[in-house]
Amino acid sequence: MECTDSAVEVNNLSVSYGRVKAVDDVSFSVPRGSLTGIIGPNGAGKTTLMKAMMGLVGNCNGSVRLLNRRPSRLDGQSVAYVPQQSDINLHFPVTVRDVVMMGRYSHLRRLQPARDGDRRAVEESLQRVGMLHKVDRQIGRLSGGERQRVFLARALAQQAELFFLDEPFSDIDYTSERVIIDLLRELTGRGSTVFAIHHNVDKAFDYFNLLLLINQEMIAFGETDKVLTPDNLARAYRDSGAVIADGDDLLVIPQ
Amino acid sequence: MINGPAAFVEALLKYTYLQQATAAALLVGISCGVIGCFIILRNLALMGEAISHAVLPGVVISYLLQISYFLGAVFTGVLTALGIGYISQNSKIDDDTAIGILFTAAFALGIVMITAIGGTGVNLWNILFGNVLAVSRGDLLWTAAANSAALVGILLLHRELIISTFDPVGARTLGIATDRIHYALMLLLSVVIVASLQTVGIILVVAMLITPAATAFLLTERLPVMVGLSAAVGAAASVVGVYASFIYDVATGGSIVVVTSLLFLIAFILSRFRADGPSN
Repeated sequence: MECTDSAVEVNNLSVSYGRVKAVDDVSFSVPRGSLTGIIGPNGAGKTTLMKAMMGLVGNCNGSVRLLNRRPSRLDGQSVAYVPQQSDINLHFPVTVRDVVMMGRYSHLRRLQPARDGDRRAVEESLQRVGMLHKVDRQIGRLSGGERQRVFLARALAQQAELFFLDEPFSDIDYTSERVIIDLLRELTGRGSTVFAIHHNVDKAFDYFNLLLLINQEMIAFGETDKVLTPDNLARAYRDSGAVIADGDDLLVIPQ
Repeated sequence: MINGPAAFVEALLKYTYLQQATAAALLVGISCGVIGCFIILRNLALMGEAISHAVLPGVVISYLLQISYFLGAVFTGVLTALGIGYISQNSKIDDDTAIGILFTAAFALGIVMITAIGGTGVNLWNILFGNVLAVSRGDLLWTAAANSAALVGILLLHRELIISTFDPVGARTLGIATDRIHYALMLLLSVVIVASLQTVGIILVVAMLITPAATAFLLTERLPVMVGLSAAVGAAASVVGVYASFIYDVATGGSIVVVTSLLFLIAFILSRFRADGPSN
């Protein structure tokens, strides 16, 4: 019964690089409209898991179903990805408009020029993240938070159903953080499904309704308050930080 | 020297060989400039170096088979690019090392083959350093066809090239086969390199691929402008290089690359003094 309703279903997913297991036997499923955080310490395999879920990792075992299809069967429109800040070449000669227009590529045939509708989608998406006033800026001439909002606008312009964001909240200003989390809530409210990798445990309570806690293997999955227990956190961060529990308050101190 | 340009124009109107040389150099400057933008944005300068050296055995094989040197040269160029990809993906050897191994191997094989067949069949000096003044009408047609094909290829693939260069993971979520795009670019790169052999030769062709593109990269933050500027720099350097080579009687390939390098130097100095500062 849960297989027809779930937006993403992962069964016994493992990824290994040579003898090293980056992701070890992870299984979970989330319904449409959920906002799921993937958390865990550095090197826990969060990015690898996300790439494997999008069908971009060759050496993996297990199965992934996105919108009831294998990732390779998707059409290039339904999955949107927001890359980690550090993966972006800040000198690349593209403007904010160019980047958001990339979200429209899968809606255009080869050599077909952008239509009025595509340009409108680009501007509306930029409006929603509050970045329309910097539409002609080169992508490197923005703050980290602004750049993150532009990449989210690209995902919006793509009109995807599934959103994968790799560390959208790291090193960003307060305004950008508010804009992004409000927009993610709006998206999930309308039935889109969002996964976001998150580095720190703090704020996970505020951001996500579901959490996947991993450190190579899956430590816990479920509703945020049930996952964030001192016991689970101690297991996830056993080698990389201190977990202090005081009644209902939790504190994780990264290395 | 006062009437240097006038003498050049006069000679250009008079001599077919000079017209053909200038046309070939112009074509090479443009297509190297265009494809070079993608080469430097993808950090593939060394790959350009590799493919240019790897065409040598192909030239010799073509001579032995009595076919156009374009065919053999493109074949061994692409084969080397495939080999580099195969080694780096299927062993712990990284790209850099795989490139170093394969291009010297192919180049060495070419040298051995040339010395084995002996005689004057293949002019090593011309292949290494180019001899644009010896471009024949047939060569010019091949050069025009090859460069046009490469430019059409870039045009057809430009969206995939841009996004797979800028955001490879995002490109794959959009359903773009980034591996295939990479090898398509290597094929186009091989075609452009082979078409440049007579103009600048194996040793210097990488300069035509990266220097005009790097010059344009310093001057703009818009990709379409960068591609146009890069083509213009390549074309201008080619014509000025042929001119200098004719007037001062020096090697054409060398003088084209010297001009390109000077243009880069000017752009570098300009970019240091720009009001809004370089975004470095």
